[in-house]
Amino acid sequence: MPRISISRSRFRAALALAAAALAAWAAMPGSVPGETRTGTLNVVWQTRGTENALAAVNLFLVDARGDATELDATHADLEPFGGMLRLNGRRVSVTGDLAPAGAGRAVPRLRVHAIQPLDGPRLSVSYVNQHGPRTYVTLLCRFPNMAAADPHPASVYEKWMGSAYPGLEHYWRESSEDRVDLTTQVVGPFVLPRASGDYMNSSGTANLGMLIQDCTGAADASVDFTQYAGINMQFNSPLDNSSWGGSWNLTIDGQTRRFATTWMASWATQSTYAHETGHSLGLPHSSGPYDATYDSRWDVMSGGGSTDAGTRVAPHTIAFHKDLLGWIPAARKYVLATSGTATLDLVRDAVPTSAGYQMVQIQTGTGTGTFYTVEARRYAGYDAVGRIPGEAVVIHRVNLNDDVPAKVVDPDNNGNPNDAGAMWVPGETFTDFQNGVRVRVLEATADGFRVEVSTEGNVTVTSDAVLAPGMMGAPYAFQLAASNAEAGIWSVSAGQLPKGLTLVSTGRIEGTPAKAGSYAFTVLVTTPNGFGKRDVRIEVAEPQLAQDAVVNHLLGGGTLTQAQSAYLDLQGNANGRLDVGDVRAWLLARNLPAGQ
Amino acid sequence: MKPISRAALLVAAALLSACGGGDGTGSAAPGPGVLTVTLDNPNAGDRALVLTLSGPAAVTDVQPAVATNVVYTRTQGTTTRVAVFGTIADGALLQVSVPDAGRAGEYSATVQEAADAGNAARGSVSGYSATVKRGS
Repeated sequence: MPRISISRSRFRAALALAAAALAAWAAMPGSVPGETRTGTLNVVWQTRGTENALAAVNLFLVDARGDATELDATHADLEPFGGMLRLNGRRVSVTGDLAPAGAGRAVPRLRVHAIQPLDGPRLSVSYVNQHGPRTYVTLLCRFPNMAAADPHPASVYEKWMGSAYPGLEHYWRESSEDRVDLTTQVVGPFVLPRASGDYMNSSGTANLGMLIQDCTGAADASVDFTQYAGINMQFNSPLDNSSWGGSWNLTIDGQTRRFATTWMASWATQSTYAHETGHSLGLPHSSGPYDATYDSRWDVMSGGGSTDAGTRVAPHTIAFHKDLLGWIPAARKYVLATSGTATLDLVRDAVPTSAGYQMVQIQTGTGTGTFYTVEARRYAGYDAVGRIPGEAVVIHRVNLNDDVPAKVVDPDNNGNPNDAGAMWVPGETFTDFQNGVRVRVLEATADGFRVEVSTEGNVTVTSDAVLAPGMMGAPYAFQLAASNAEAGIWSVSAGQLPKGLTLVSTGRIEGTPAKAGSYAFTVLVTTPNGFGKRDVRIEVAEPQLAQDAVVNHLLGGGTLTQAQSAYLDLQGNANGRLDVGDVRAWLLARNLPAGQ
Repeated sequence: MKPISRAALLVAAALLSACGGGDGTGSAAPGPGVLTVTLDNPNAGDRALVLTLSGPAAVTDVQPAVATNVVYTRTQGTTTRVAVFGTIADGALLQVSVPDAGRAGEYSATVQEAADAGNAARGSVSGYSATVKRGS
């Protein structure tokens, strides 16, 4: 798949250029502050032609009439709702500063201040509906000012869409283990009403909304769009040297709905089609860890592919992506708890046999949005010899809030996620000391690899699972202990300490508990030779105080201890001293007389 | 310390009436009586307050002037600290029984701290003032 990106991701750009952007926006004439628009959020991914760098990820809000507003959002805007992947396809109301169309912008752009999902919390429709028949139409759309021909004869596109290798129907059937049947009809040619230059923004990017309106409009008399879930548009120009894939809302043939959508440049190959239709199913990019979108040959959604059958043919997508689409049954996905060890057989990602796990997911950090995935890659089906870098266990580090969520683990840091550094073979061990994760490849099996995955490590935390209890307001100190870990560095790898307590690197938990409750968390100790973990718990209680003692203390009686006084302040206004507001809070919490 | 009911206040007021009451000037004849503590509050919405009552002799009883309020007291020598919870607004705040109402002018009240409906302590009570006068 030809690939480049000369534009950095919208999100990264937003972070890097935030100050400049804010200043520019404030000075932008015609900007409308406090504008609210409602529509379906559609994510559209860019695939550039010749340079391997970060590709854009564009967010469009498309209303019921098909009118688009480009959204300028940061990770922080999207994170409360699970990030871009979870918002894709949801109806949302967005408020922000609107820059109207014109002045080089083909569509208005809204700098996001607030997003409000309008339907209930759920996964994107992209990730619950990719089973069964999915019928696409491929429209051959020509610009009137370009050569009166399509990049390839219709018969070539029919072959690429077909049910035999390397057709898309065949490809996605194999990738989904027959869960999805993506059939495509090729129709055209259709002549667009405007010259190719009219579809470009002044910034040089394609006007995706105008392209889809005009291409589907030109085909409308010949095509019944009610029959299709997806629309591929094959153009006879390089567009903006990019192909694009994602979704769009259209009103056509009496229906207003969201279509899986691709915009294909003239240079598109079978692997480009596989890549963009992957986006149209809702898949994001994956990559190596080097800020280059198309550097991983392990995934069609990055730079995977090799020449065959007169085109460039895609490999499989990674296990994380198959899991996103619901193509890996729960029984074949092993999720490792924050503290545990397991030995298991991983079967290959492509054409898996009936026994064994297809992926392992290992939680890291304190949230559920970051984890490792472990998968086996062996030569089979579209994972042919020469199409993937080799036969090995491949590990991805996943952050669901990243616009490229899955990145190949490549500890040699040499810029190449396709060499031996990223291929884990028998006898090799991957260890993440910081998060307390270990993956050992034990041996090759007939169709995969046997691995041992562990979040326990080789150092034993000897402290009891239930640590010394704490009392709200009373100073707390506890020293954690482990065998063979004199020089260990301690941290919390999952869960949360009681509010007010901290774990210092020497293993001492200290501070003053500020809230009562039961707090479960995982402690991690790392040493130069390994690590250990243990799930522990601290119970924090509230002191039992008599009403007379509390009121008497407020009025100068001085009968409470310093810890009891600190507790009253913590459960009150927490301003560092005991005052009448704290006592009122305490009386009210116990339904004691406190006036009305 | 315990919350003091409105009923006790009514009894005290009745006794005061029977004794002929006063004109608030402190010039009446010696003997037990009731003083009123009036608050000038710069903040709306206060729900708790602590003040100090000082005078020539310890007060014998403190009652809320507003029936739905609750007071707690602690007396040490001739000084009584009072915590009031409820609606703390401008106007009469407390009814205070003293052994010699003729010495009403020698009593004073000082606001020590206050808190709002969210239990946040007021940063300063410099704008608060409380006055003590004879009569209920």
